[in-house]
Amino acid sequence: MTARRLPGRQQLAVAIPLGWLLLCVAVPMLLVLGLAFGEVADRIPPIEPLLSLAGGRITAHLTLHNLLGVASDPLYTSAFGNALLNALEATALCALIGYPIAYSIALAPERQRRIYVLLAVLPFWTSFLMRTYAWMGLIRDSGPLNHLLLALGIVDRPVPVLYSPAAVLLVMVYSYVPFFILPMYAVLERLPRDLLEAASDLGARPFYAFRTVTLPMSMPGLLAGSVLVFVPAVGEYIIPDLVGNTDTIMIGGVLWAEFFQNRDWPAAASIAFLTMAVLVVPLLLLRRFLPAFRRGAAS
Amino acid sequence: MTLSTTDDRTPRVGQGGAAAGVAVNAVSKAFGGAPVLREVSLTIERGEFVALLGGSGCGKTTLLRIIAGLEIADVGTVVIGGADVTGLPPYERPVNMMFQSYALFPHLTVADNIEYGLRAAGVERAERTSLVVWALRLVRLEGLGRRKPDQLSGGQRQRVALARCLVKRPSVLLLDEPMAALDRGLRDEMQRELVRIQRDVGTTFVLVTHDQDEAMSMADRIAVMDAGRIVQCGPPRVIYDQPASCFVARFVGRVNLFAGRVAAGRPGATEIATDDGLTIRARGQAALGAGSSCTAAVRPEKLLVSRLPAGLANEYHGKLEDLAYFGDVTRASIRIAGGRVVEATLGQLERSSGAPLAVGEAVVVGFDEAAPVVLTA
Repeated sequence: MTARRLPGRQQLAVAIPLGWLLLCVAVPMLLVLGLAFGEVADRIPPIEPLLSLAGGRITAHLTLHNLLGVASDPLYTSAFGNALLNALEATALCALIGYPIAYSIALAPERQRRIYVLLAVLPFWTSFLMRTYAWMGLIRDSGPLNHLLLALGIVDRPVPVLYSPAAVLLVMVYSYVPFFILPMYAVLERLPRDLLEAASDLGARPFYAFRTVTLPMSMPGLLAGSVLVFVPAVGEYIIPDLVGNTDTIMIGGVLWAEFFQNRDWPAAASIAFLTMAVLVVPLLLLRRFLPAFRRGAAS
Repeated sequence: MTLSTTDDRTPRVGQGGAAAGVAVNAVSKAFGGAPVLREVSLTIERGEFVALLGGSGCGKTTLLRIIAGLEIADVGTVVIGGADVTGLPPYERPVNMMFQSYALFPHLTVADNIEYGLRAAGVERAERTSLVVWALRLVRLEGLGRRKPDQLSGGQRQRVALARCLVKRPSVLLLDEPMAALDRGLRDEMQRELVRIQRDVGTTFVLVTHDQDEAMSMADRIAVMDAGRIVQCGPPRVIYDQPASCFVARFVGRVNLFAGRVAAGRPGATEIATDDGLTIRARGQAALGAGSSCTAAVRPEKLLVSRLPAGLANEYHGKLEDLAYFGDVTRASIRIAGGRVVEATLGQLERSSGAPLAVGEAVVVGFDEAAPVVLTA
């Protein structure tokens, strides 16, 4: 007798996602990790083989030099700090803008809600690059924004918005806010109405009821939305490259430069690996506390 | 006025304190053009326990929500304790409502749920703590203060919802189908418990229910509602013995209805010819003109079933078609001449005298002149 096994179809159902994860997540990550321990070489690919066979012995050429270098070099750490700060700002702004939008969608009559959700994700129908270029046109010195400001007499010469940290933040918030709205809406929509009625009945004014009932009960959505915005925002490379200035270097741009311009694959891999490590640890901690919030919202 | 308390631990602090009367004046309400309440007026005395009784969609819950301020009446006014509160939001009204779903805050503990309304009102900490202890004891949940609502049974959740309201010392407590989610045994227990608590705290209670037994056993007065109107309002005994209409007679308790016309009416005695050819003699019901249509309503327990005529004012021969045994009573269905089936409740006497009646037997079913209530609506 063999141990009880899953029936064939169920095995397949488990094997497909598992195989996908292995092939598209685990293998590339291991490759990146391997590269991070490698050494640059003037060849194609531009790296010394990690393993070599000489005199019947297998030798591993691994070095911690890249990882330690990236972790201690102020060029990288400040770029990482910039990216982190920028992502925090973008996440906070997405929450400030996305929460009221999600809440008003949730409060709208049921038939209208679907339309509003559709509107929230409508930008996805256009390429992300096209939308970023559109923003560049809107905010450049001779663009509609400055035209408007000049026409209204608010400024007497064009304000340089494009190629500034503000432009990066603006376009990032614009691009990421739907990722915040959707999970936020999903939670707020399921919030039982009778709880707010009970709060009001017990003497809570609307803002007090919001602070003591709606906000704590919508925490899972707030956390999910924030993670969905924050994580990709840290690694964002295209938006700072297109609308940012060259003084504020972000970690995504540095990674790109190391890989494609300097052809320093080990450094690029080290950046990728360390960035991921720094993000994953707090997320794992958050996950530990998320179920508690979930339970609170579910019942 | 101080609260009448049989419990000397009852703190004499809090917001509301004194029970208050409620007056609903000519309130109408429509949802999306469909009228839910039509010119409803109701006066509830201070400290009274009133039940709003009716089927689903009769408007009883809407009326309760209008008193709470959760719905705004299209027309009409609501007065609580002498003050017009028609335009006030729920959080400014001296009433509290116990929701059918209980609406406990799932992210707060039992104690925090109970404390919620006190915090919202800015009651200071020491007073809050002592009130929460008092409320937990009142509903017999001492020691469960630190639990979360999802760790409680249905009955316990209901007690928390009740405590959360009562701790506010509301002038009026509104209860929306409070027993709906409880199973039968627990329901009976909680009904008695609610009546006890109402006596203890002396607050005015307004209870919405579709369960006539609940209304009958708990309320001082019942307002029977149908299609957005209060069709009768009175003590349970009056509602049962002198229903104002066929609807009330049918809705509260079981009844045999004989529709017909007044054959001969003189003060003190009415003779009714029913549509299926029976003659019914009834006492009282003055001033019904001959020929006017009416219905005689007779409760099953007023019917006497026997093998031989007993000399009652109204007696009909028939055949016993069915006997349903319920333990405390037995319900008999008798088909009488003309084809109509009447329902009679057999009491202890009829069941114990002589040989028991059997299905298929020829019987005489009768009732005296005082038994029928003559209804014109």
